[in-house]
Amino acid sequence: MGQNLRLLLVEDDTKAAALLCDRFRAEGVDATHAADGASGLNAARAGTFDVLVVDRMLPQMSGTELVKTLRQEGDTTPVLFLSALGEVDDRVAGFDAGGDDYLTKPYAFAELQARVTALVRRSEGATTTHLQLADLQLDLLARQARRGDILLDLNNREFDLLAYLMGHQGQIVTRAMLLQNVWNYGLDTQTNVVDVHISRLRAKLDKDFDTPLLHTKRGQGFILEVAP
Amino acid sequence: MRTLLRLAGFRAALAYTTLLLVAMALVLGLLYVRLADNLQVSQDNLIWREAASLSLIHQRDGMRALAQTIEAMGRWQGSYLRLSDGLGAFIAGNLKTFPVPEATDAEGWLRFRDGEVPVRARLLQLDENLVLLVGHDVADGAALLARFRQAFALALIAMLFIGLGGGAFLARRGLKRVHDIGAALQPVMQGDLSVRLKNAQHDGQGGAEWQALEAQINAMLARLEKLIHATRQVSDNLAHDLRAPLTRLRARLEALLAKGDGGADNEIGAALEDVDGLLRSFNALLTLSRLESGVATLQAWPVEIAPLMAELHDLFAPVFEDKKMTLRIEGGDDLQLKGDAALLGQALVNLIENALAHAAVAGSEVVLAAQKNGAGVVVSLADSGGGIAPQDHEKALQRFARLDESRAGDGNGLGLSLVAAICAHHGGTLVLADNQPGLRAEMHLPATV
Repeated sequence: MGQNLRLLLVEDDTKAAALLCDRFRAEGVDATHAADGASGLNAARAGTFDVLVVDRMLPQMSGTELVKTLRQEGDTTPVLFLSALGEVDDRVAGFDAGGDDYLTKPYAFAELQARVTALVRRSEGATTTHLQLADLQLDLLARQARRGDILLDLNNREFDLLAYLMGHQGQIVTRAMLLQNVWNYGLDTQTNVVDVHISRLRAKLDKDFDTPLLHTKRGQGFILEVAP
Repeated sequence: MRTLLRLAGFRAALAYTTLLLVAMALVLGLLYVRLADNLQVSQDNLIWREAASLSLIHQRDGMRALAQTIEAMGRWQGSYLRLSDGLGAFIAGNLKTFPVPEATDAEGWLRFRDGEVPVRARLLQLDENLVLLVGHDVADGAALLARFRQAFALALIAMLFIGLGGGAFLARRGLKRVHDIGAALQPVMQGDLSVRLKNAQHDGQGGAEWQALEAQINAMLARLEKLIHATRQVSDNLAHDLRAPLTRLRARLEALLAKGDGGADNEIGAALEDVDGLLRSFNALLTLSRLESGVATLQAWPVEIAPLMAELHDLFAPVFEDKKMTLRIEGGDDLQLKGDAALLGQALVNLIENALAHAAVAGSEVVLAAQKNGAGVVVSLADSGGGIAPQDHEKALQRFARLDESRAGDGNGLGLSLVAAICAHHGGTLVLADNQPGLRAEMHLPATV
């Protein structure tokens, strides 16, 4: 994650907030915490943050009111809502208030991190067409993947899967993130459906090469990196 | 007519009309009998008086005078007279031959016809050798009775039509009110419980009973709305209260993994999987409750069936291949329905995973099919596994149902109940059928909600 990324977390659950801030700081993010809506609003007005992570249910002033107020004042800082309410109506209310993304509790830290990064990247307008990790190269326009000189024979979906993992290289990617972003479904699956696709991708990506790149993290998801 | 007969109002009107018709037929019949009787009595009196006068003339002035009188009277319009001797030979009158009687009685009354003209007559024995027949044309009376019969029949027929027409009108008017109420309540089916019937306050038409019914419906809606609001509050609080500690637990476990030395990664990972499993069951239960209680309003958008099925095939085909099975999709082209794509997708995922869990027969084929069914769509998943016995179909749809005791642990037992709830949420039904062998789960969904 970006070295100078400044993040404001507005969350009334102080224990959870402390844990979260620690994780963000460990990733090099400058995380600030506010425990209620009013102080969150003040902090957001006073400081210059790159991204706000706001709980929807807050004492004194709800998260949606906070964001509505900021938006009325012309503040366009990207906002990600955290909420224990995950129904469609609740999500729509979040976006109506001016939120840019919505994450339902509980979530994997990896997913929150990925979404925060995506929000910041989106507001910076950054795009890339080539991705690289060790000897793995991805051309997003030609939809080609190579390890060294060898062209990998991937089908469309395998390429999308690899592209998403490459876009989040070095970060843990959860099964839910893959289902949401590669298959466009916020589906809940009981089976190992994602693992089956991952193992097929792994067979093409790592089998014939010395350095494995795609690793499984039990209980968390997958990570694309050169193992330390 | 058939639809009319199904209406309670019309049936009541029909029964009432029938009763009225019977009563009226009785009254008119009695009237007719009395009328016919009276008519006959007055005709008979006339004839009897004539016969008595002639008998008097015979006694007082003798046979010659009688014969002359009879000859004279015989010229009168409608008069029939015949004087004969004891053996029946004609003596005087306007009937040369004795008429063929249509009816006779012991007193000496008889009926016969002169051509078309009906005649009523009386035979009188004046003395041993003299028989007098005095008759009268009763065509006027008969015509009168015929006119009465006609009028009565017309009255009954008119009565029948007025009864049926009135019944139909009243029934249709009642039906219109029912339709109006039905139309007004349509939004309720889509989850809008703030609807109220307007006629309850001021009675436009139809009467107090309709007003009372509408007031009752309104009271019911108000109560439902309150209850559902309360349910929503409870489930929101529950969601918040359970998710907050789960979020902390998850964050702690992840923090442990992040700074750990790697020695306990596997155990911590397993704990994370357990948290996620718990969360899945909890989410499924919460979704199920929201769907079944009617708290959730349907977010209906046009959903193309074929791409949805293709996506799911793309997602699951490798899982089937790993189990040496095949997933095939069939039909669905150009099929569209209005609904919540995410929920419908989840329902199909649950069906597919159900087949993977319970019908994993190597070499078998599982078919995901969609076809048009009247105005709606049937999306079905057919496997060739062990199936579910027909008597267990209902049980299979219950929450936490586990028909296969040996397979405890995997899955949360909410899959099929959730599919059924999603179907119901879309105004459809989940039908379980025998695929011979295997299970065929059919989602019957209307094209529009």
